[in-house]
Amino acid sequence: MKLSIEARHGATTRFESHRFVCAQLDGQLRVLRDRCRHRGGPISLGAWNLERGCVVCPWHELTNSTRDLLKQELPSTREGDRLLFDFEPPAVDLGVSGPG
Amino acid sequence: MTLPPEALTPAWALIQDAPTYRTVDALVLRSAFARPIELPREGFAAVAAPLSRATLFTQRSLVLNQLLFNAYEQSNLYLPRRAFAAEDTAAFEAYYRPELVAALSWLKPTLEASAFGWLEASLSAPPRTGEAFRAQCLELLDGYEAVPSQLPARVRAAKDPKAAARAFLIQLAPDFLSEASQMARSMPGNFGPLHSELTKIFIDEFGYGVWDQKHSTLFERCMASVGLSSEVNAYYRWYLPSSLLMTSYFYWVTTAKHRWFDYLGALYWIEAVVPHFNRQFSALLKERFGADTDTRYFDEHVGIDLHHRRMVLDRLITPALATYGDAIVPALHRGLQMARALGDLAEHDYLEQLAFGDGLSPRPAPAHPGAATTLRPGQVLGPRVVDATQVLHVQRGVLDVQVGDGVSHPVPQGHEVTVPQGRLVGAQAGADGAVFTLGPVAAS
Repeated sequence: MKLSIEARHGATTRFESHRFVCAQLDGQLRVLRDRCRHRGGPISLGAWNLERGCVVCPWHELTNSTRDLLKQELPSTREGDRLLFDFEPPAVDLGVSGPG
Repeated sequence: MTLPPEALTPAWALIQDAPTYRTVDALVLRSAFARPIELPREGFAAVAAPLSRATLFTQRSLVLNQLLFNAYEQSNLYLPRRAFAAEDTAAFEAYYRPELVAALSWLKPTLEASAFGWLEASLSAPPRTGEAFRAQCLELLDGYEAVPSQLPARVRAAKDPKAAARAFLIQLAPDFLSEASQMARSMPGNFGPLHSELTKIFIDEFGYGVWDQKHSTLFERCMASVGLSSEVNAYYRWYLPSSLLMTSYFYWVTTAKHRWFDYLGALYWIEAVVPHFNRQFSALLKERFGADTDTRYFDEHVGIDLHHRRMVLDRLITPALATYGDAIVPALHRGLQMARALGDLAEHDYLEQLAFGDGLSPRPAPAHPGAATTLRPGQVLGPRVVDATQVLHVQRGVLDVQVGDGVSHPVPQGHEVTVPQGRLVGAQAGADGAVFTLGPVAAS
């Protein structure tokens, strides 16, 4: 799946239920999954420290370090004012087996 | 101020006639929409007279607490796991019938005043300032965590620790099988930044929209893994008055919006104490039921509630104090102390019931005078709380006397057992039926 996102720190996009954020990290704009390492909170809404390259998630206030964030990176290429990236959504488990 | 008794009479009459509350011939329920209550024919005023510590563990209290629990639960949606059978449809529609919902809602303020008024009146005076309240929160928590809970030790020491552990899970079920349904009631509206802070906790409770992560799902799986039914309120008839009271308290303070600051105090305490207790209880379940026991419910709370208690204190209570000042301290204090007191009462009730089961020992005895009850083969005596210590004597057949699901003792003809004051007891007749008396000790 070819996707794109505005090449600007803090820009977001989504595909189905999957969220992505563009972040200035380690000297360049990167595409990251918009999810905290802890419980998947929206790091795009967190408190970013661009100097240190980290973000505090708004859900439980856990810090995602540069190292944590790079694990969430999707390789991208720049085309004009956008970053292009590939994303293959995982197989969907609808949980239709229910509580039983 | 409560509604005048005569204003409540029509609602009470409707409830007494409702099929939803009729007694059923089963100790474990197969439908979430059957809510049997041994409704007395007397007027509502007698049922709903204010409770006290002395009357909490009585049959009237059980009825009152079942009514109140159902009044809140009618706002919870439950769906069967499979397609509706004809009888399911009828029960489903009867349970959510608007007139019945309205009738219980009409009785609710009186039930709430009766259930909680006495306990609120017994609480200590609040601290004077928000700062002192915060310090008290941390001090109480330190004290709580300084010693292990006695409950796991009592479960281990029980005659049948597995049955004792299951019995405890059953007492958690009225709350945990629909976990955070109370919190959900606190969400509508717009109450500023506090609203968003509370939402952060709520989304954890509901598992981020992922069924496998929802806390109620984790509890269902825990119940199933120790051999219990995970159907909603299957064990409704075995819920002790104090378990219902505790569950209802959180419905009360989230439904009655002017109790919002009470809720914050209560929420702090509940979130705060969970990690310490759950760590111990998770270990107990694995120790008794094996390493494969699904303890994720308890393990999840060991971790996430360390966040939640910080979030409640630092992101809800502290900002609320900054905005609304010391005027809210009495409500915060009341909520925290109510949650503590209700937790203590529920633990006491459970441990007394455990002791009753462990001490149940049929002994030969002559028949007692008094009216005997006859049960058909397999027929049940619905669980009830005895208001004074009683003797249950079997005149004919065998009666399986039960103190909870899976905790029973067959009492043969010519034998009796003692049921201590305040304890919940039910029974089921053996294959040949049974005739028995249940009467005061003095009559023996």
